[in-house]
Amino acid sequence: MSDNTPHGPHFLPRYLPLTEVSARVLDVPDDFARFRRIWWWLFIFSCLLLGLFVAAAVVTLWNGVGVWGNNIPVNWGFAIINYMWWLGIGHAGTFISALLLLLNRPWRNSLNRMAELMTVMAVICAGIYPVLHLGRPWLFYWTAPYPNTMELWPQFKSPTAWDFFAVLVYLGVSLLFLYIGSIPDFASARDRVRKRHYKVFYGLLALGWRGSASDWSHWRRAYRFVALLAIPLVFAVSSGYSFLLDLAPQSGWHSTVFPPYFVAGAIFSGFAMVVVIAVALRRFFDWYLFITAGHLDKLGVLLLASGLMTSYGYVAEPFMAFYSGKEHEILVNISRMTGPMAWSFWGAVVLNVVMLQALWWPAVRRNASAMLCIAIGVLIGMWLERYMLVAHPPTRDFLVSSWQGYRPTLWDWALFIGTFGVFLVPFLLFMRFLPMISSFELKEALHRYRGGGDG
Amino acid sequence: MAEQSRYGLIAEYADPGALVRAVHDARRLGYRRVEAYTPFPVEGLDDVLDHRSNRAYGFGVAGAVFGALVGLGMQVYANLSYPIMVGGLPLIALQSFATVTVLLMVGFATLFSLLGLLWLCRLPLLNHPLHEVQAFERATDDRFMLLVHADDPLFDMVDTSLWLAEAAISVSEVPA
Repeated sequence: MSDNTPHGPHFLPRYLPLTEVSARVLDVPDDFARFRRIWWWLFIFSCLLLGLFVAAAVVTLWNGVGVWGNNIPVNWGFAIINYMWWLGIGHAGTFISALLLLLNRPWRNSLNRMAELMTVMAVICAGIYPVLHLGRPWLFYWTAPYPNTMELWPQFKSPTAWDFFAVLVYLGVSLLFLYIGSIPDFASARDRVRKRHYKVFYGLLALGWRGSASDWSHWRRAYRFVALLAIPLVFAVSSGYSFLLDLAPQSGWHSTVFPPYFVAGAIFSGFAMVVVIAVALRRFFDWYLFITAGHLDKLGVLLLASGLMTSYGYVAEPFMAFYSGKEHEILVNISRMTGPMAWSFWGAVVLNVVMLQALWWPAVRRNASAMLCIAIGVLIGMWLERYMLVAHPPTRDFLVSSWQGYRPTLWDWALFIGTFGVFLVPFLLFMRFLPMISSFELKEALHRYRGGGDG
Repeated sequence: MAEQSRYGLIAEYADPGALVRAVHDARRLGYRRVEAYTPFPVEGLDDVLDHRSNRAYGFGVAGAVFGALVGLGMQVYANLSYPIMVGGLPLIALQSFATVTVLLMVGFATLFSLLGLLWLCRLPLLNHPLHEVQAFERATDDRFMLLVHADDPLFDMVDTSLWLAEAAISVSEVPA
């Protein structure tokens, strides 16, 4: 419908007035009454989940990680599965915002803000896990290189030390990128809202932004520069946590395919979460005008592409195991496909590979319900994949005498389900108080679409 | 005395095209102290107003260099300070140090970019004369504004207002 523009499609109605964009996006907090009822139900539900998280965390801190199902040799159970799952989800936010910005894909302007907020919360959910997993989380600062009289430093040749920096830097960069991209919107909101306390709130966030041409020229350069750096960061962080596995001499982990496999898987699961959030928010805020079937179609293509790359990992990984000819490597792989945890392998294959093929049909990609089902399937499938990758190989250790199964406990599940509260409570507050769509970038897309002139 | 208590004149346009034309005209007439205010970056304004500074990149690059040096330096120092020979790696194993170096490079580059952006835009700023003007509230929404500073050599309250009013929807005085 709008493929004839030089900057790619953005799927917005051609003569949408600019002020209509502001009215629908920026007036939400001022005019929240129409959403209030359902919002409170969602918020109470999320608070219950958060309460579950707090309870599980207190139980874990009180009793130690013994309340989890971890054992020796399976000392990385749910903690690392869920850590990787959440962190992977975060990557798509950066990918959509940064890469599609530099590639001039204006349709991303409807999705980047919510995707970035998703990234921040997902990284926080992920970052909680290694801390709780430490056993003595109050000594968390030992992982940081802080000055101490004994001159003891982190072991910088170990991926666990890299990971500390990866999560912190990723969280920091996502927050700053989100903030740089939101300053102009905070200013728009400041100048639009009527209630005094909101004016002060947005005024402080906007830092006095006025949108002069010289401000914009600096802003554009800074924003694009950070975007350019955020893309390698996605690769560095997701390869970084794959090193946690593949630098260990454990069969089933020790494979060079892991870094690219994890990058693809991370972006794949993240796109699925973006689909869920986009479909949910457009229903909640009635944003069918901004998030159209065209957007879902594009997301579907990205989901399919990243899913096929992940599928390649499913093929390459067993292939390399058999090709290596190492007996134990082959044993671990056969057990992964036929052993007591085979459900996680085949579950991942069905949800991430088989079901995904439906996305070849444009009608499926443009159908919100179908996309939602596939996306939720992918999220579950990617969780199963992490289960199969993280929990299974240690159950088939080198020493047959140490072979042992793995079974998550009640508190494992409680903590995992609780992290959805950690994600949703702030996310619902964002929905309440922040512009969830980048309104000024939508206006820019509209302006360019009208050929530089306006009306 | 009244002349000194004035920040300038702000003219309001309904679309970016009209604003770009007005800025062109202002430059052609010889106004030097003019600035445009728009709700989103408008192409073409940078060229007319000579906003070609690449200093925003400079801050980012400086942050990247600083971060890389901090990252690498920290790891080299830690290993020299308390040598741990492990994994058959040399004491200073650059391959192992690459990840943290890159991460800190990106982290500091981002931080410097934000601080540089704020510095270049002279933010944060609690108040500004422009916020006193009612019409300016829409400069971040759907209107496109041209400001002529009162200290422009060509600035004349009557002549400049009349000239701006030829094309603008509204012209307002900005008190200092």
